[in-house]
Amino acid sequence: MKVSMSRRRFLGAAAAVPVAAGCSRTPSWDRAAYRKADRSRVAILPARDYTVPLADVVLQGIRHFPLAVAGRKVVLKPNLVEFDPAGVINTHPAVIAAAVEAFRRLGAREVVVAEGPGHRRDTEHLVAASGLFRTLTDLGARYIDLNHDDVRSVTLRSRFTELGRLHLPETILGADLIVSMPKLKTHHWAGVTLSLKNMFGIVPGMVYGWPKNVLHWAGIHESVVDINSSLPAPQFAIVDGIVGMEGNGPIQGDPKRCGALIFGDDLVAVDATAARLMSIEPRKITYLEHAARFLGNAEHERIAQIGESLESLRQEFRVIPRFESARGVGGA
Amino acid sequence: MDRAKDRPPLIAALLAAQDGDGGWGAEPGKRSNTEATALAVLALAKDSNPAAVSAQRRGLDWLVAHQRPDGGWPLGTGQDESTWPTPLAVLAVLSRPELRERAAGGLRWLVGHGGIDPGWLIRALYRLWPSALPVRMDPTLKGWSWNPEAFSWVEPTAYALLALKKGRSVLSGPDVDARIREGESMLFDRVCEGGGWNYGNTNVYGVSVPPYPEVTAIALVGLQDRRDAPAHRTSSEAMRRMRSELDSGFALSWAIAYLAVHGQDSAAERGRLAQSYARTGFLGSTRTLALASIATGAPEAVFGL
Repeated sequence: MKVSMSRRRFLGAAAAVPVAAGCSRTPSWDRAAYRKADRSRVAILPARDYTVPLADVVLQGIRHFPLAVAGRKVVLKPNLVEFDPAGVINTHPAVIAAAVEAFRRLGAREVVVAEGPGHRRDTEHLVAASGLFRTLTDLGARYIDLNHDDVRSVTLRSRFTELGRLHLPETILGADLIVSMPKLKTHHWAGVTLSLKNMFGIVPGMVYGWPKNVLHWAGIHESVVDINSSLPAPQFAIVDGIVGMEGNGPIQGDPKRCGALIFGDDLVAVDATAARLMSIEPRKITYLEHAARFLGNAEHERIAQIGESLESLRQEFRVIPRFESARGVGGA
Repeated sequence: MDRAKDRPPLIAALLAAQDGDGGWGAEPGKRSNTEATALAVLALAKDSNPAAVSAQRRGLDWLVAHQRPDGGWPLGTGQDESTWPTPLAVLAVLSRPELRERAAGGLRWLVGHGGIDPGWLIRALYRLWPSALPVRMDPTLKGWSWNPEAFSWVEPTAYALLALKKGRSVLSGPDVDARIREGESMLFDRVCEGGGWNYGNTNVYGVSVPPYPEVTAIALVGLQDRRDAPAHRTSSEAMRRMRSELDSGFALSWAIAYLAVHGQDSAAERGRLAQSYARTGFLGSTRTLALASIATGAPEAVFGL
């Protein structure tokens, strides 16, 4: 098998979480299928730490949006990457537990937690060591390993990559509501990793490997857009920004306290707001710039802020040198 | 883990997890896949209980039925491309004399396939200006990949090496030897600082990436005949340091296999394997259930050269 590639593609392929590979094709999407709202809403609710009654906070956050939950199957997709007892890599189990409880209170038929870690194939280790297994056992909630789920090939609905099709897990394809639950983190390849980038985790490792190498070759930013444009169910986001990560994220960065949970039904708007909360300009993050063309609103003036003001919670998150130019927030 | 006490429940659970088509899925009720089926067949290979013998026969039938014309195996039911579980299927059919040709077909596929080539530009860059690359590795060394369109990584390379080495009685020759040498070189190149392996990156932008115990154990099983190599020695030492971190069925099973093929005692790991199963049920993973069944049986016979 002989496939030649450019230096940029190799950098993408070789790194666990690579740089953007770029794409020579002209991005395209079905313009009739995507209609951005004139304005989106994002809620920022304060949560001092993980010991406060988070289920109440999450319930309050969800209720700001007209979500159809009763009788539906809700899939919570946290960010579970690695485990470091001293680190803040993953969505905190307390936030996941709060979301399980909140969606149950709203009458969901079933709430499951599903993730496909991108580096480590040993899911049992990650789930148990991170404390998530005990949390879910106490709640009687199921964990589904998306890396080993049954899969179906689907046609991608936008063409920022040349992938055309992707195998996606049946758990995701069968969901009525998909809730992306990322950690508020900087990312040494992508700039930031939030609710859109978090959806990399739905792509099954059994098919694409550990790391999910085929996506890296296709281009990290472009893959983020194509995955999110092709999700079948309505989406919602809950960002764990109680303690985030700055610097050399998504794994080797440092904890950064922000004291907030961020909610929204426009994932682009949620991520743009979360980036601003980190003092990072969302339009300088390539995948957010791409996604804002058709998936949602990134412009500050098109986002109605609910709850705490951005200014009151904004923090200066350190980034690695190559993203220094993304620091600073215009229009906020 | 007490073999006499703890293995029968694992085997019973494995038998109960078999799908109606004779294969095993990633979890009970999921579609049969090659990895879980191959490992289950290996787990049941030495079991004389009639139910296990019958289940193993049906599992082998599933593997035979799903071998592709090019000799490789797909991920599972409904998939039509040969890919990374092929060496595990080879190991499963190798033990049956009547399936030697099946094994040879899989081995030929392994010899002819691998991670994709980086191309002339990267080769030149690596030789002339390696510091321009953000990762520290020799991209010209070809092991095996998870996906036919991707780069070489540690775990699929270790599985392929194990199958090619165990399969020498059915396929040998200079091309096999050359492929083994290159795969070994790729693994040696990807050793983490201080020994051991993770998925396959040792250093990104000057920052060391630590090893994982489960991947280190798998790689050392694939390199069990290369104890002379410095990378084997440093990684064995890394494995010794990481033994206390082992807490999952997947990692403990591979660690026990590593210890068994290297003639070392694994009583402590067996005890923790039983605790892991009691605590998490291996999260319902049939693959891990099969691996644990192998680990509590005769791993040296299944994975030893």
